Amino acid sequence: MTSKKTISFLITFLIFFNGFSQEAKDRNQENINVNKFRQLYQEFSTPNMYRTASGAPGPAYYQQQADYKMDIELDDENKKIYGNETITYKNNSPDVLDYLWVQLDQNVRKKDSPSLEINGNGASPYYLPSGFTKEFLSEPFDGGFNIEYVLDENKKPLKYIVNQTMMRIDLPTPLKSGESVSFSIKWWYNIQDHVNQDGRSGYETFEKDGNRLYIIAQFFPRMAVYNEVEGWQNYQFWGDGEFALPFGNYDVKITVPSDHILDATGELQNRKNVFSKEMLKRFNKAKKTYDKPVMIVTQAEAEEAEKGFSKKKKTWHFVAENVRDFAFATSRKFIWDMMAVKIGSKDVMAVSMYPKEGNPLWEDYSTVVVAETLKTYSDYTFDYPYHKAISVHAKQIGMEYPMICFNFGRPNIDGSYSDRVKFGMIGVIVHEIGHNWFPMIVNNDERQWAWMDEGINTFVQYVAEQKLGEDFPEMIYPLEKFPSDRGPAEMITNYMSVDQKFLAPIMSNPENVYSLGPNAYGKPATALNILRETIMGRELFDHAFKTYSKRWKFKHPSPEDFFRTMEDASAVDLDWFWRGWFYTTDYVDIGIKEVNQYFVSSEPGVKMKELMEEQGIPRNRLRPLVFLENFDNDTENLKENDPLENSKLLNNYIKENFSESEITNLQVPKYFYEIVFDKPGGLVMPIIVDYEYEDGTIERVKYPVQIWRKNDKEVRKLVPSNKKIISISLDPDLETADIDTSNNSWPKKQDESDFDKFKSQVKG
Amino acid sequence: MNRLIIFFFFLIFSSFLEHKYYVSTSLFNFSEDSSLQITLRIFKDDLSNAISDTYLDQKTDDLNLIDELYFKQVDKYINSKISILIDDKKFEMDYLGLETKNDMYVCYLEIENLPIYSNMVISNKILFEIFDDQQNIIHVKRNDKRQSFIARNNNSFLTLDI
Repeated sequence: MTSKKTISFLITFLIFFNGFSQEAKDRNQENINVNKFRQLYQEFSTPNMYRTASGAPGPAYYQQQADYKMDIELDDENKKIYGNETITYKNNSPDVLDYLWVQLDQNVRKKDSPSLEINGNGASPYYLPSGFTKEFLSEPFDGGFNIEYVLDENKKPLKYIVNQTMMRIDLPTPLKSGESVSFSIKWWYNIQDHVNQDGRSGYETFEKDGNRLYIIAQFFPRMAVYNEVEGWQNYQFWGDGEFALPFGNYDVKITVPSDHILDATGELQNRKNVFSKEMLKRFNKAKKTYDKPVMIVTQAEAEEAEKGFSKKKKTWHFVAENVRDFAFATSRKFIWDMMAVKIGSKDVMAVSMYPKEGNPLWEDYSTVVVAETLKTYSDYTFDYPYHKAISVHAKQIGMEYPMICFNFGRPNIDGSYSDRVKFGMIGVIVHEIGHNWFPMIVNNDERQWAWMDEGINTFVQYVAEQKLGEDFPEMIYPLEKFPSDRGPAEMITNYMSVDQKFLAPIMSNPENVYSLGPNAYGKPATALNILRETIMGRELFDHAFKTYSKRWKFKHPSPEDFFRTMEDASAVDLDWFWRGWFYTTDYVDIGIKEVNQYFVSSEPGVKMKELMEEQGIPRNRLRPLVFLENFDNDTENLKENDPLENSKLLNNYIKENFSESEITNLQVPKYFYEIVFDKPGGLVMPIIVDYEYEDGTIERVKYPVQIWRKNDKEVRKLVPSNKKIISISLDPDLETADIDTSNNSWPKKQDESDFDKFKSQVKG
Repeated sequence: MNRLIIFFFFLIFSSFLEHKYYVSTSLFNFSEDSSLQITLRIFKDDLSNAISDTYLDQKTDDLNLIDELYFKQVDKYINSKISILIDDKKFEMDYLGLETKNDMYVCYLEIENLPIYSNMVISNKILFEIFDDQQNIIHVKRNDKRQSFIARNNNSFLTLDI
């Protein structure tokens, strides 16, 4: 019977066709699975008792603890820091530790440090005089820790060895699981000039008044992280990679000249000893002021203090619980203001410290921006758990520590400043305060994965900046949106389309990446924004992101924990996304290759005839079918006809199978558009299309990303319609980071380029 | 060729810190009528400072005046910092003018009637004399072919492959 033969022919045809394409694929790719949608089983660590498959801490999850008791003295005249500390290290792992690793970050500045020789750039054809002098004429800086002793709790010397920026202490008795060990270290080091010598801490000298402003961090030997992912984190500090640090409690006494203003991580224990009566009064007022900053030290007072150069000393005592680091800033130049912020059921103090050179920008914006950032980040993840957050003015620096951060943003000498300086400063304050969450509390290993805190934080920074612009339109006037420099998809296309030889995947160690900025900050932040706006939607994304933040609050997550949690809490398969965006340097380029139009016909068209010939089926053996023929082959001008006119078969079928009332409501499509989408770029993304009809209506359709799962190069969509489509726009809102939008329109847009527009304006 | 949509700069940092960023973008586009169209995007205050430092006695206050009052100086400055060598011969660019887009100037230049040649070398040294770590991104586009390069002060020459 013809129908049996037709059916078997069709089945054979289908199998033959599928099998053929599979074979071709395999032959090209050596029999390994390269499908872009394959799950990340090979890249991810196997889930275990420490970190679950859903991305949460497992039943056997542990983390170590390191407590510090320190006495520090800062010698302003000689730019030195002297310190001694007692470290108490608790081994919560199931393992026995024979040795401990202690980080000596200042050693990156030792005269003989290999990090001085780490770049292979060779000779430069020219130098700025300052550059030439620095490179060839200066004495090498005598940096690095000078260790005076390392003693056990009985004051007996401990055996240790220094390997560049890491010190190994060999324990006389192995440290068993659940036990603690204490030891003391005494050291001193030369603070470097961070303006002329680089670095994320140090001092700046103000030539005019002869004072220095100190921003001090990485100033003490501190414990390295020991965990079940890396063992001891033993990657050296070369400069670009940041830090991996355990949580602990700090008790720190800092002695500085008595006319210095100082603030640090932790709660000030001896305020009455270091504050004047007037300052105490103002401080108590600030604690109850929620709408604008209260000056604790005014500019006039700071300018007076600048002349002091007191030879007396004062000691400031701080205690901080559950922090992963400690930093402080001190100078007699500081102006100090504070304001209270309601976070959940508690009050948090928003604090700013800045020299007069930071005004008027700093007194106008810093503390207000700190307060708003605290609120937005708290809403978005979890309530800020500490009691204060400080923003310190520092030239050319943007660096974060628990409760205190150093931020750039200095106006011109006459007090004027450009938009770039203003928004740069606001942006960096949001960013650095944001770092309190990532990585100070959601504490990832920054040395291995810079993106985990930088990228994630930059994304939340973008959300916070946009909210700042919405809540304070006067801050951004006359702009309508905060000019965030990272976040929206179209802003990353420049970076992603650069020559591949300059690109490294996000999942790379930061020391090995060419352009760390876009790679660790911009690209992951953009990826998360795309997930939020386009792939997952805000509701699913925000919930999953909050879940991740809460799961890993005061713990140490790894990249997989983030990837797994986002999927686990949303039921959106994201392996293809993480793979493309984080593990490769592929970019997005999807286009409309061509549009074919079809009409209904009662006779087999050209393609059908070819198929019939291939299979040896004559016309009279073919069962009754409804045919679609390409407009290009319309020899009898049938394309404008009603389909029911062209195909009596279809007409009859409908009459036989639908009731009268159903027929009147039936919408029989007259126009059949076959849109061929191609994908010159490697990344897969959903296909977002606006179909514009002749009646002026626009229909937005989103084809899921899974459309690419069986054909990575080209997909076709048949769009039936009873209205003519007059134009098609791909990714009309620029959501997918498509690096080339010239192939995103049908009919192809012959737009005048920006260049031609300007030229005709100028030359006429 | 149509449009390569370039909105804002991306940040290239030479280190981990949130440094202020020193980046410019230049697009060299070979148009269908045998001309080379150059679009340069540079931060307003950077270009103003460069012009002031090189040519003027004091810093300009109103940055929006820079085009009208200082057309010749901008022309001179850009032509002294960007060089296009065609078969080893330097070709001057025709400066058309600039417009302001947020905190950036977009400068338009061109070389009309390009001769037939065998090799072209582009170099972009804008702002190197002010910032040690200035990075100038060069994008070259000819029909569907693209080439990119990041010019830095120790390596600012690009030999075209397209």
